Amino acid sequence: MRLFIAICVCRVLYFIGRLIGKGTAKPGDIARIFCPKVLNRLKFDGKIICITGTNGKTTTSNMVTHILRKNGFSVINNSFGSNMLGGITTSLLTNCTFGGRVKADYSVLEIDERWLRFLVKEIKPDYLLITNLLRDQIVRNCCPEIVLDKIKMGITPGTTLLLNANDPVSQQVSWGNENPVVWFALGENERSTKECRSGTNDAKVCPKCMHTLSYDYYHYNHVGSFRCENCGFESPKADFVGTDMDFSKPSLAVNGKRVKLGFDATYFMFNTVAASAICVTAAGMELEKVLSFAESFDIGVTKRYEELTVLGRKCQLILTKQNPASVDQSVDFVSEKEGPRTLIMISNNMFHTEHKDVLFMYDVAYENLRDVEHIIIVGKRRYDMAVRLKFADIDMEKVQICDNDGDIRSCLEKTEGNIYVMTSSVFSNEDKFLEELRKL
Amino acid sequence: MRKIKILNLYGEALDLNGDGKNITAFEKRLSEMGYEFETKTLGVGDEIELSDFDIVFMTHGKPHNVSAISEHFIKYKDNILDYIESGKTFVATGSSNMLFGKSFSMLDGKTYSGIGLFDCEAEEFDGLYVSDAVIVPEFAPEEKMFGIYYRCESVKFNTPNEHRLFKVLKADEGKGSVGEGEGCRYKNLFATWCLGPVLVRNPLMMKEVLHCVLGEDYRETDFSLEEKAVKMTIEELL
Repeated sequence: MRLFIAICVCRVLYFIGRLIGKGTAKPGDIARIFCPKVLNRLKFDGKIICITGTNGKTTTSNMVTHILRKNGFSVINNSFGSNMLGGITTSLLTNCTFGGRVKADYSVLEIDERWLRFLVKEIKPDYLLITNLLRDQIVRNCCPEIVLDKIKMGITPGTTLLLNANDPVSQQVSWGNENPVVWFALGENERSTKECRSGTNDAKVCPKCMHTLSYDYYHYNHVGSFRCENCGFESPKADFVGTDMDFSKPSLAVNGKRVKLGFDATYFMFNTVAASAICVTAAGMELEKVLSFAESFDIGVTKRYEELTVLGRKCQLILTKQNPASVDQSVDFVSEKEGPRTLIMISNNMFHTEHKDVLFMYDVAYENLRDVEHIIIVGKRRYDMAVRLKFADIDMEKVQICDNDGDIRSCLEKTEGNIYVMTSSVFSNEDKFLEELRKL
Repeated sequence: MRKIKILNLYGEALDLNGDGKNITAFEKRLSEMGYEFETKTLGVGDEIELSDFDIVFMTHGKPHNVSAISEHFIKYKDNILDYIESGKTFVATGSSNMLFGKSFSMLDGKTYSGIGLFDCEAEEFDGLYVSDAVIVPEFAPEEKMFGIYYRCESVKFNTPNEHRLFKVLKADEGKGSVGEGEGCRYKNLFATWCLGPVLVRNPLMMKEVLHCVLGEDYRETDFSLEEKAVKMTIEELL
């Protein structure tokens, strides 16, 4: 009876929430009051796939869902809402029968790294994919090892793990258990570097013996091909490998089979290999078929890189999270563009908590912006950002600090070329400044 | 002009939250003053002899890494204490502080020894203490600095801390909080749980450390941008 009430309450609240445009976690949270551990009472006809990690979990989940649906499977996912327990509960209770039966062939659940350990107390994933574990905002996730420990608390016996063979941190999830592991990786390519180009490398030392870890190449941060000369710890041989990347006409080969992509970012290629690995492993699909469906997946590039015209010049908004890996990717995006370029950096307090710490700025390789012709800094922490740029040996003659949002026009008039704006508007309240910009 | 020798002790294992940029900023100031410098990074695979250096930095690291290097650190206890007693400069930020107390225990129940310079013990807990802070350094009691504390360890002094580095003017309460005073200054050892680019963001402390290393050879450089940035932050907090 409790289950039935929880399902009804969840559906009514979800329906009302949709009408008034509210979030999707609350209906699940409230349903859980009526029926604690409600997910434990559900009966799954199909398989449960959980996807977590620092970056790329949403894209990978959406791509897996897209591929499985294209192949004719029925799939439930939580792409419309929260990736914590409330959001997942909403997704499942609005897609099961009133008797609590989940008929879908696959439940593809994106789960926040810190919440997996709670989810598995109620449902056991058949497959768990971890995209990567990178340094995140410290107010949320401290360091990757703290997150690693929390994920390890969520490993259930028998769950097949799909792990990134290029990531020495997340591969530690396989330590201390007997779970089967499927490894995925990306091979060396023209964007790989011999030295770490990112601002952070969380695996400079071997996690087993603390001696220096050697890298044959880096993709980004501590993700690459590594080995420890002291104890032999190294990148495992991958079951699914992306090779022969072409970034000009985005494509790569997964285990030798070619796939065209709608986006040229290295991390997107990683997501594609990971999604392929899970579709083949969990659904038994043929790789060729998986890749042909992956080609029609739309990552939503136009949303991530919205284009405007500002003062008659092309202006591109680059959505950036407040974590070093995300900012590093945005820095690289701008530094690889042809000049002259004008970069607007919005530097604010930490989202959600308003902490004034700017530690993550010091974990980003702003040094890679040295060739960018013009930089304008706005936001509450604009002077802190100016200090950071100074210590990155950026020529401060080309840096303008914009003390009032209204002064952005006069700042821009002193610059030339395409405008790039590193913004976090979907994650924070930067809309006021962007409104000013859109008026120009 | 003498060449300044800098040691980044366990710089590969302890490299979290921008603490390493304190060294970059220190080097930059030396350059502006016309000094040459040489920076070495040593870790658990190396023999350590601190007397070769003018300044030693030890930065914030993951709890797992701090416990993993502790055995190697203890091996050089006498050398480290001799260096500190000789009045040379040592800057320890964030979780590296655990190694200067008597011991520290981790969530898995294991306890590790420190070198016992300070009469305190640390204990990891399952949670996080995060706080912006306005702090007053003992070396400039009329001035204010900005600090960020972020830790999953609580620190307990068995006897009152006679070597307090900072008076805490404003910080959040909670498990692991820093209380009214924080850090230790013993001779020219600056040990603080403040983490991140403490020296970069606080010209006061950078100047104090530079004075300790250079003595009368200290030369003025331009700190105006950093001073403006930290002033804005402190004003927002108070």
